[in-house]
Amino acid sequence: MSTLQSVSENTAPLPPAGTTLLETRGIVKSFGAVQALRGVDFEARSGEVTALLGDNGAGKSTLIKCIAGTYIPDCGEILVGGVPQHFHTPSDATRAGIETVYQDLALCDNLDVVANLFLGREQVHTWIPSVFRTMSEERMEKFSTDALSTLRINIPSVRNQVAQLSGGQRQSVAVAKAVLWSPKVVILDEPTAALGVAQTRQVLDLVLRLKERGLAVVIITHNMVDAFEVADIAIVMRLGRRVARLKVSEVTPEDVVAAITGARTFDDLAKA
Amino acid sequence: MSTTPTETRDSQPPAPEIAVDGSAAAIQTSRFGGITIGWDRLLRSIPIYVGVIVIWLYFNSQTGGLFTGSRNLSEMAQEFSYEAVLAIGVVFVLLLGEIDLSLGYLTLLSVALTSSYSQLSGYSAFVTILLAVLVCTLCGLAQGMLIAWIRMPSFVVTLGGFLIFEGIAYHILAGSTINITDPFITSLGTYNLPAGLSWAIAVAAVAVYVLAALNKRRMRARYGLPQPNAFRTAASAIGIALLLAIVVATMNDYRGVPAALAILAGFTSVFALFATRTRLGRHIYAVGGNLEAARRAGINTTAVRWIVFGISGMFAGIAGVMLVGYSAAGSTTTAGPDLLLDVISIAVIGGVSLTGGKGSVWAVLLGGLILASVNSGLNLMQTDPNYIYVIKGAILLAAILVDTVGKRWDELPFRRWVQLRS
Repeated sequence: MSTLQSVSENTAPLPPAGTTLLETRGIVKSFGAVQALRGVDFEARSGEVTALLGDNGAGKSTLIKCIAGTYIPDCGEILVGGVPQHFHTPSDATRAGIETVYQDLALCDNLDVVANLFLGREQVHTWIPSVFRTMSEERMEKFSTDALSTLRINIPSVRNQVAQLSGGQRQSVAVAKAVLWSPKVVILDEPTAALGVAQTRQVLDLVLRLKERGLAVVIITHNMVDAFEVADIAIVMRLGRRVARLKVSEVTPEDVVAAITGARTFDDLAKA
Repeated sequence: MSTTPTETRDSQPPAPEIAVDGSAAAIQTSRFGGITIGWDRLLRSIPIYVGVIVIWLYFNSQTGGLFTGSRNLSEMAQEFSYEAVLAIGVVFVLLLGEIDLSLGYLTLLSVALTSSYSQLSGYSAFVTILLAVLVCTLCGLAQGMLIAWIRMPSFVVTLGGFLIFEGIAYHILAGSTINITDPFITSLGTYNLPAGLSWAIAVAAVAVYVLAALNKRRMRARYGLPQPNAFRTAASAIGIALLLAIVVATMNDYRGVPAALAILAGFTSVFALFATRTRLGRHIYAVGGNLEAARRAGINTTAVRWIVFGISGMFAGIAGVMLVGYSAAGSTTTAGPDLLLDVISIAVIGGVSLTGGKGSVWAVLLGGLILASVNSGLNLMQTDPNYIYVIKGAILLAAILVDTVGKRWDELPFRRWVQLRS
């Protein structure tokens, strides 16, 4: 943990569990005549796993892309740690402490684990300032090994090419890459969609470890079993609106499915 | 299926954590990993080394030992170094998963510029070389701008460049042959290093390798990382020393190491270092491996792609200068599309993948050696030049076949008949 912090750009300790780290207010996003988001409020708190649920076309991905800086919302506010933010590019969001792990797009198969973890942020040794700098492979390898063991991610060797890893290990490396830089919020887009039973287990355990470390974890999933296994809060979207915010411990999967399909409204569930 | 996982597990060092954390996943990985690594190694490197030996033995038997004589090998080095230098640029373009079809005629443009600047404008060798390389680099950057910024397909852009550079080069040369009299430029093709200097450079190179290996061990110890096998490191150092000794001794047996070969060795080392040890080099591999992941990691993928086409143009310029030095003249037949296919063959034979992200700059030495051997051997045997084209085309196809089969083994139709057991 201490070595992890020493590589990170952002060494401020995370606030106590339950602090709202990410908040959106009234996000509106349209694509031509299609209104994908119609004023969405969303929040994620430290030390909590928030599941973002909804049917295809509910607006989950659009909302996440607004938060991650890929889309610029037409209207509404994004606050990170209470500070309003305006993201124009994905790196703006990264700088503000939001890391997003996409399902397939996270890793370069032809590079090894160390190279992937440090991709775009390679540590260098300067021989001649701004003329000749080489990568400090040993430093990066050391930090990678430490980071993976902190997160209890098991891979045969950090010098293995990512192409040689299993789906679960790849997803774990992608998550580790996101949390290596001490973000406040980690967003996982369908982290278990392509995985088998044992590999899904690995990734869900990892999600719980991130929660223990005090991060605000947002997980987008279609899988109700996964959501109930790791999430504290479920936020349900339907047709571009947020229709429910539920404590997972107080509802049943049937309630959530009812909210997703629109069979029951938020008020009904709040009473239940 | 029931026996394979047990075997794999037994062969691994005890790793209880992996077994607890999801034994199915762990076993699956190592089984899959075993096949991948095994076939990668087998398909990628062994055929090449075997190929070199077979080719050499064959040509040696056909030419009564003439082929491996120091004179023939020296001439081979003299004649083919510029192609291997040009192939360095190709390696970077292929690492991106792109193609540069204009290289043959861009090299001819460099030939035309070098000969006209030196002979017609009377510039000094230094100015001539600088201008020729600069113009070719700018040509590469211009193509790169269309490819990287406007996102036009490299195939089409460089096909346009192919015709444009051909036209300009033909215009400059105007159908005539320009003989070069500048002593420095011609020395690029005729000068041989003194024996002592070659030995000194070889010793220095081995010393640098050993020092780098020792430094790596020191750094790994400082960070508490496991050390690589000392015997293997020592063995590779000795191997490199032996190889260099053989090369230098062979070349010295004739007239000494040709300047062109020394230039090739220099560029290869510097750009291999660039590719594997610098951030930009790493980013080139990343862009070739997964463009979207590289972009999301904050890499300026446009700039990376742009720079690579600049590098490619620069090497075309350098190769053109070396070519003028070698032939002591510039004419429209000095370079052309044949050269393009040769250098792509060199890179692919050396193990650089056409689909991007895989390969090393060192590939140009191995690939260059094979192509040079085939060319030289067939010429010694006085083969009909038309057959030489057929044979070189077949070698290119074979190299691409190996690359494709290695990558998509699982998808190929005959996979069902050839059951693999790891």
